[in-house]
Amino acid sequence: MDEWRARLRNVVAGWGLSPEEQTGIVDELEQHLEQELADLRLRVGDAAARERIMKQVDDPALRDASVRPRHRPAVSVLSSRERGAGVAGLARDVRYGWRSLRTSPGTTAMATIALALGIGLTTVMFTIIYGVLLRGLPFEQGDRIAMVMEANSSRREGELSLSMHDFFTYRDAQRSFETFGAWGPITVNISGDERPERVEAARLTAAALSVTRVRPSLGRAFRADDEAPNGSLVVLLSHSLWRDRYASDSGVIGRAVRVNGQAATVVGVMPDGFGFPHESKLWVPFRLNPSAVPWGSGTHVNGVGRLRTGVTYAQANAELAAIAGRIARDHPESNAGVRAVVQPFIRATIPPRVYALLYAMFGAVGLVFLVACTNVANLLLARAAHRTKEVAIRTTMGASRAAIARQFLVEALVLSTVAAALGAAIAQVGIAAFRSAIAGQAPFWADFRLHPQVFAFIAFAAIVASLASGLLPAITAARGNITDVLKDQSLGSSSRRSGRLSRGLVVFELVLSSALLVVAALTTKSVLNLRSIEPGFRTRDVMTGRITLSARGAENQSAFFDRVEEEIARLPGAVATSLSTNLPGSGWSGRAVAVEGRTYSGASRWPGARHLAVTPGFFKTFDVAVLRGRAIGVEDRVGTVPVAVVNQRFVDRNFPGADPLGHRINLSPDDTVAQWVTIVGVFPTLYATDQGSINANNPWPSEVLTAFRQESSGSASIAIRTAGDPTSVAQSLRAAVASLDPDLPVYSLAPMSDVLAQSRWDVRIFGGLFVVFGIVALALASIGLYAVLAFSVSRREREMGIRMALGAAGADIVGLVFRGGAVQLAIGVSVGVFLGVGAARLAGAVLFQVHATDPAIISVVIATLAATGFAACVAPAWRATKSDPVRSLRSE
Amino acid sequence: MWFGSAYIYVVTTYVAAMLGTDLKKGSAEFLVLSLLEHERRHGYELNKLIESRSKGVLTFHIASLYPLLYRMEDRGWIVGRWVEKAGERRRRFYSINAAGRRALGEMRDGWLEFAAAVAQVTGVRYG
Repeated sequence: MDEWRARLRNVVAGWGLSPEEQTGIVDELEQHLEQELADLRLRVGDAAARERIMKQVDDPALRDASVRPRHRPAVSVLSSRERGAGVAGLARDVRYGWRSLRTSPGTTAMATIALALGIGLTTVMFTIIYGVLLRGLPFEQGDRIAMVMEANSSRREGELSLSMHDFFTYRDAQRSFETFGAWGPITVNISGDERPERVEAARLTAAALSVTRVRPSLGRAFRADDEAPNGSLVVLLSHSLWRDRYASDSGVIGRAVRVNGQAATVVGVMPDGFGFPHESKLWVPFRLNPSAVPWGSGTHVNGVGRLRTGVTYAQANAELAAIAGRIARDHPESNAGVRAVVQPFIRATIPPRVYALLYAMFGAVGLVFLVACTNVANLLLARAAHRTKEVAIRTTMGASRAAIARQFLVEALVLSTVAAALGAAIAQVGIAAFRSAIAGQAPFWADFRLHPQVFAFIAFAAIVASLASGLLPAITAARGNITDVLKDQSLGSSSRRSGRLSRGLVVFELVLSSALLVVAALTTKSVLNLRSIEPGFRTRDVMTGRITLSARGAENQSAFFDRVEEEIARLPGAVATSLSTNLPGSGWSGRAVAVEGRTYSGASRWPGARHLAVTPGFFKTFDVAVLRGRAIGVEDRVGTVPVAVVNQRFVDRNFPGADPLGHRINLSPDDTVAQWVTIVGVFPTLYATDQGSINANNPWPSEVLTAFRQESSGSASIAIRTAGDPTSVAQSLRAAVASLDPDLPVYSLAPMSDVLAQSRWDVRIFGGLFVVFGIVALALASIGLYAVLAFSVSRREREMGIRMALGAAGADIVGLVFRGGAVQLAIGVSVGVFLGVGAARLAGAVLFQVHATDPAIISVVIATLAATGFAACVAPAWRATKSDPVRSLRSE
Repeated sequence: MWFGSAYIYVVTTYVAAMLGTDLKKGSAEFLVLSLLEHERRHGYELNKLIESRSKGVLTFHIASLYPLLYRMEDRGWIVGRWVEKAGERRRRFYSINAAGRRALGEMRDGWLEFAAAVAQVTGVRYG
C-alpha cells in the first residue's frame, strides 16, 4: 500500500468515527487523492505529485478537522488529544468561555452583578414562600394533617370553628382520619413558682396532640383521662418556656404551676421548635362537656386530624360533607346551610390574602429576574456582534452551528454560575434581614433558611438564566452566515439587525422596570404615609401594657381595675393614666350600631362603628379633646345612665346637620335586650387600622367611646403618659400590679409609638421589599440602556467620525445618541407605567392612602426613569464626540 | 451557465484579491452550492471546477473541502449519496436540495447587494 494511503487511514481513524463511517470517508478521500495524483503526475512528474499528496495528508488541519455525518452526535472542532468524551468537550468549552469572558471584564462584571441581584431577590422570595407555604409542617407526613372547619354559604361565612356538638358528631362518624381531635387558642397567665407571665397557649385534646406524632422530649403527652372535666389540671411546656422559665431543669416534671390562677402540674416538655398549632408555648387539655349546653352553643373548637393512608382530601371532604348534611337535618336551628371544609393545615391557617400577596411578590421578583436576564442577553448579544469575525473563523475551521451556539450558551452558563454564587450570598443577607424584620410574626413551622431545596432553586434559576440570556445571542451568532459577516464588516447591516433585537430587549427591560418602579413608588408612598400619619392621639411618651384577670366575678373585676388605676396613677413619672378595653390605633373592635328611633331593613343595614370602653383618664393620656358636650367622666359608673362619646365621623354619617347629643344608640342591636347608651359628647376622628387586615381601606371610621366602668371586661389595656422616656415606668408598672396580685402578669409592654408601628408591620415589610425590587429593577434597566447605547455608539464609530470630519458639531453627535435612547425610553416607560398601574391595583393590599394612578407618583417615576436613562446616554454620547475619523477608518 | 461562471470568477477573484484567505474559506459554501445548483458532482470534480473557473486562484485541499461538504450535508443544504456503476468503484455524489437552494439564493442576494454597493462607492464595474 502507498504510504499516503496508510497515513490517510491513520488520520481518519483518529476522528473517532464508527468503522462504517470511517470506511466511507477513507474511500471518498482516497478516490479524491488518487485522481489528483493522476492529474498531478501528468504535470509535475510522479515524485513531486506524491510529495504534494503526502503534504495534503499530513496537513494538521486534516487531523484536526471535525467530520460530522448527520447521524453522529455533535462534535465541535477538537484536537485529537481532547476528542472523545463529551465531558472533555464541555470542560474545554467552559475553559474557553471563561477565557473569553475575562477578555471583557467590565461587561462580564456588569452582567454578573445584574444577574446576581436578579437571582438573589428571586431566591429571597422563594425562600420565604418555601419556608412558610411549601416546606410543610415539620412533622412526619405533615401534609396529611388537616384542619376541619365549617362554612355557611348562605350567610357567606367561611372558616367557622365547630361547635362541640358538631365536633363530636364528626369525630364519632368519620372514617377518613386515623386521629381526629380538637384544639382552641388561648392566652394564659402562668404563675406560682416564678414571676407571673402571659403566654400563648393552646387547649388540645389528647388526639389533637397525637395527630402530630411528636412525643414530648420529657415526661408524657396528654391522655384521654386528662380531659375529664373535674380531673386535676396538667400542662405541657414548650421547649422555650422550659428553657427560659425553668432553666432547662429536667426535674420540672411534677412541678406545680398556676395557670390562670388554677393549680396545675407539669407533666411534659415538648421538643425544641414544636409550636403546634399556633406558636403555642404551653398546652392544656381541652375539656369539653357537650351535654352541659344546648346544641350549637358553648365552646367552639377547631377540628384537626391526620388523614388515613390512601384517603384524599376530596374523599375526606365528601365524607364530612355527608355528616354535616345529617347534622343540618337533625339540628336545622343551628346548622342549616352549614357544610364541613377539610383543608391541609397550612392552607387553612395562612389567610388567602397572604397567599395571594406572597405569590404576587414572587411574580414581582420574577420580573426583576427577567429584567436581569434581558440585561445579560443584551450584553452577550453585544459581545456576539463584536465577535462575528471570531465566529466566522471558527465556522470555517469546521465548528458547526450547534457548536457555536453551545459555546455561547456555555459562556452564559459560566456567567450564571458565578452570578448564582453571588446571588446565594445576597439571598443569605436578604433572608437574615427578613427574619429579623418578621421576628415573632411568622407561624411556628416557618423556617426561612437556605434549605437544600433553595439551593436547588438557585441552580434552577441559574440554568433558566443562562438559557434565557444565552439562547438569543447563541442563535444570533450561530445563524450569522459568512455573507452577513462580510456585509457587517463593510456596511454594518447585520449589526443593525442585532441592534434592533437588543433595542427591543431594552424596551422590554424598560417596560418591566417602569412597571415595577410604579409599584415600588406607590408602596414607598404607602410606607411614608404610614410613618407620617397623624393619628389624632398622642403616641409619644405613652407606655402601654395589658392585664387579663382570670376567674373573678364581674364586681371583683371592676373593683380590681379601680385599684389598678389608683396604683398606677401614683407611679413616679406618670402624668396621666387610663384603662381601656383596648388601645386606640389597632385595638378598636368593630360592631354594629343602631340609632334609637330609626328603622333598619335588616342586620346588614346597621351602620358600623369602632368601639372602645375607656376610663376618664383616656382623654388626657392620649390628648384627645372633646369638641362638643363632655368626655367620659368619673361619674359614669355602674348604676348611672350608660353614656357614649362619638367621633365627628360618626356624627357626619348618622346625624348629618343635626345635634347628636342626647340621642341614644344601641351597640348590640342583634341582642334581644337592647343596651342603650346616651351620646354625651363628640370627639375628633382618630386613626384606626383594620385589625387583622392588611388592607386599611378606611383608617378614619366612625368611632364610639363608652365608659369602662359601665362595662364588664376581663382584660384591660393600661396606658400611662409619662414626663420622659415611657419605658422607664415599665418596671414600676409591673411592681404596682404585682402588689395587688402577685399571680397577675403585665404583658404586651410597649410604648404606644411601637404599638402603632407594629400594627402595620406587614405594609412596612412587604412595602419595603417592593421598594428594594423597584430600585434593583431601575438599576438593571439603566445598566441595560447604557450597555446598548454604548454598544451602538461603538458600532457607529466610523459614521460618527465621518460626521465629525464633515463638520458635525459635538452637540449634533450627542443629539444623535440621545435621540436613539429617547425613543426606547418613551416606548418602554409609557407601556411600563400603564402596566404598573394595573399591577398596583392588584397589589392594592399593600397600598395605604395612595391611589394607583396617583399623578405625582407617576410623574416621579417617569422623571426618575428619564433621568436615569439620559444618564446612561451621557457616557456613550461623550465617547461618540471623541470619534476620530482617521482612526475609525483605518480600523476597517 | 455563462452567468454562473462569470459570477464565480468575479466573486473569487475579488475575494482572493481583496480579503484574503479567511474569506476564501468562508465563501466556500457559496461556491459549492453554486456548482451544485444544476447537477450533482463528486468532491474531486467540485475542487477541479473551482480551480479551473477561478483560473487557479482558488484551490481546496481535502482538509478543507471534505469537512465543509460534510458540514453542509449536516446542515441540510446538500445530500451526498454513494453511486455504484458496473465495473467501477462506488463514488460519492453531492446534490443540492431545497434548503440549499434557499441558502444559495440568500447568499447570491447578499453578494449582489454587496457588489453593487462596492461599485457605487468605487465606480468600478466587474464582469
